[in-house]
Parts: sequence; C-alpha cells; structure tokens
Amino acid sequence: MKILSPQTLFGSLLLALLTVNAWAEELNTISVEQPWARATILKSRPAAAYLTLRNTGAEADRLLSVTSPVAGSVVIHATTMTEGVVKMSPEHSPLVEPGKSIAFRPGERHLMMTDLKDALRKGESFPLTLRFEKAGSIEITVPIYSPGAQGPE
Amino acid sequence: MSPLPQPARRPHRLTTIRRIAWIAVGVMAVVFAGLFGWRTYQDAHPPTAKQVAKAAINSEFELVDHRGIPVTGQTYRGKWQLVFFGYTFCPDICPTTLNTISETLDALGKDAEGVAPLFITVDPERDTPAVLAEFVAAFHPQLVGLTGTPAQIKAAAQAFKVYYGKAAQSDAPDGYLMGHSGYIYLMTPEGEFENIYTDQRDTAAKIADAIRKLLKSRTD
Repeated sequence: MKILSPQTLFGSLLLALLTVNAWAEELNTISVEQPWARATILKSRPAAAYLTLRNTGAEADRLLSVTSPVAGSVVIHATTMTEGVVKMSPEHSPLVEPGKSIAFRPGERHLMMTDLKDALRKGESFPLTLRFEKAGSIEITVPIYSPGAQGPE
Repeated sequence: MSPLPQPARRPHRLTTIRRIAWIAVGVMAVVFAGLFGWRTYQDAHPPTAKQVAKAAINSEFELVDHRGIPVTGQTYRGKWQLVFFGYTFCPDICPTTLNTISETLDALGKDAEGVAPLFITVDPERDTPAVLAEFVAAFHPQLVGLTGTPAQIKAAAQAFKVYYGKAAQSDAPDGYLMGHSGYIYLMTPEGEFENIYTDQRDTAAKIADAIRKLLKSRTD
C-alpha cells in the first residue's frame, strides 16, 4: 500500500509549492514599493503609513482594504486643504490604472491606523496586508521611522 | 380784483424753486466729487492683505501649556511666535506641519532662541497637558503645546481667525475627526500678525530665512 515514499512526497510538495509561488508571482500585477510608517507618541493616537502602489499588469485594479495585526482598523485616507482648512476623509477603493502608480505621501493620501495594540516605535517594523480586487492579498513589512518623518529614510 | 396778487407772487416762487434746484445740484456735485475722490484714493491705496490681517489677527489668548502652567499671549511677547493649530489624533498633516516647524527651528540654530513655537490644540477634550507634553517632546525640545477649556480654545481660535470643527466619521477614534485651518502663523514680538505659511507652499528653509531677516531688521 506504500504508494509514496517520504522523499517523493516531500519532492512533490516542494514542486507544487514552487509552481504555486511562480503562478502567484505572475499574478502579482501590483507591486507595493517603499512602505514606511511614522512612530506614534501614544498608543491611543493613530499612526500613519505611506507607500506606493504600482500596477505592472494590463488591467486596472483597486485597493479594497488594508489590515494589520498591530491595528484594530486601517483606513485609506486623503488629506485635503480647501480654503486653508485641512481635513481627512476616507477614500474608498482607490484605482490603480495599468502601467501607473499611486503614491501615499505626507499631507496627501495615507493609511490611518487606529486602535493600536501598542505604540509604533522607531526602528521596529510591522506586517501590513493589502487586499486588491484582482491581485488579491499582498503582505508587506513596514519599517517605522521618527514621528515627524517625511519619507522613507 | 382778486387774481391780482398771483403774478406778483409767481416770480418769487420760481426763484425759490430755482434756488432749491441749484442747491441740490451743488450738493450732488460735492457728493459725486467726494465719492470720485474717495474711490480714486482707494484705488491708489488699497489696504494690503497684511494690513487687513494685522487689523484682524492678534496673539491674544488665555491657555494652559503642556507643563500645566497657565499662560497668556503676554507670556510670549518679546519672541517671534510660530503658531499652529492642530490636534494629536491627527496622524498625517499635524506631524508634517510640526516637523516643518521643528526643521525651521533647527535651520535657525542659535537664532531659534528668539522664537516661540506654539502648537494650540483644537481638540481640548482629548488633548490634556499630559498628552501634549508627550506629543510636543517627540518633535522639538522648544515646542510648546497649549490647551484649555473649550471656551478658551474658541477664543484663541477667534484671535487668530482660525476655523476648526468636528466631522463625524464612524471608523475614527471616538467617532470624529477635526477639520482645522492649516496655517503656520508668524507673529511679531508684540503679538501682531507678520505672515502665514503653509506646508503645501513653504519650506522650513524659506520660513527660517524670513525669520532670520526679521530678527536682523530689529537689531540693526
């Protein structure tokens, strides 16, 4: 009844994994570049994370949601200044056109992370999962810089 | 005959009407000349934005600093003041602007001693002196955090003609975010308006340069 030896089983699994990985690579039409976040001063205060989304595929895609184990909620926000008044408002499912990229930058688009499990400390990092309409889920690691950082250091 | 007095009176009435008409013409001429003169004067000397702002904005307030010490506008007289209104639940634009202010102070080097950087919260219910103490320390050792009662914050905002308001948002902490004027005010050592800057338009180097020139103009 011995159909598969442990070696064969291991080999097949490895091959399958590699194949799946290669498919995933091919399917990954979105690349997430230069992620970074600002350290928070207090655990109770929201954090902001920034990155660039590049669509290398042939079809437009949308960022549906963002989650992180370090935050209770991550909201896609846009900061606007109208007649001298600045405010943040949620941006629903931003579109990334094929061949284009969209940037999250201080004073513009950002990810607001609230309900933090702990304050974000400079020098540490945390995982962030971005879910796209077509590209699926992409997990990245976000390094934490100073509270007033203006870009990836 | 009774109609006799009529012709005698007629020329008299006519002169009265004429006189009134001429007076009216004279008055109108003076009024028009005056209006024209005033408009010409105004066109030649329209008030500058700075004159308007100087008349409307001043550094007057009664608040509490991040060490819990009561302060007024008088506390910071003698120093050029960089004033920004914001709140600590603001993760994007407020740290960005406070970073610009911190960089301005760093660019000024020793001249920064002549500057009082003030961060006034528009969210006094959540931004207590203790919270502000941790917050401002993360940006610059010189930065001062100011809070107060909602009425005191309202009065301070009115002195600077700053707008602020709550905007309900379900996924925000406590269900709201604040909208607020994003200006950095530069006030004179007398507490008068000097200039406004915004992060979108101005760099720390530019603000520092302006302050350095003003400091120099006072010592020359």
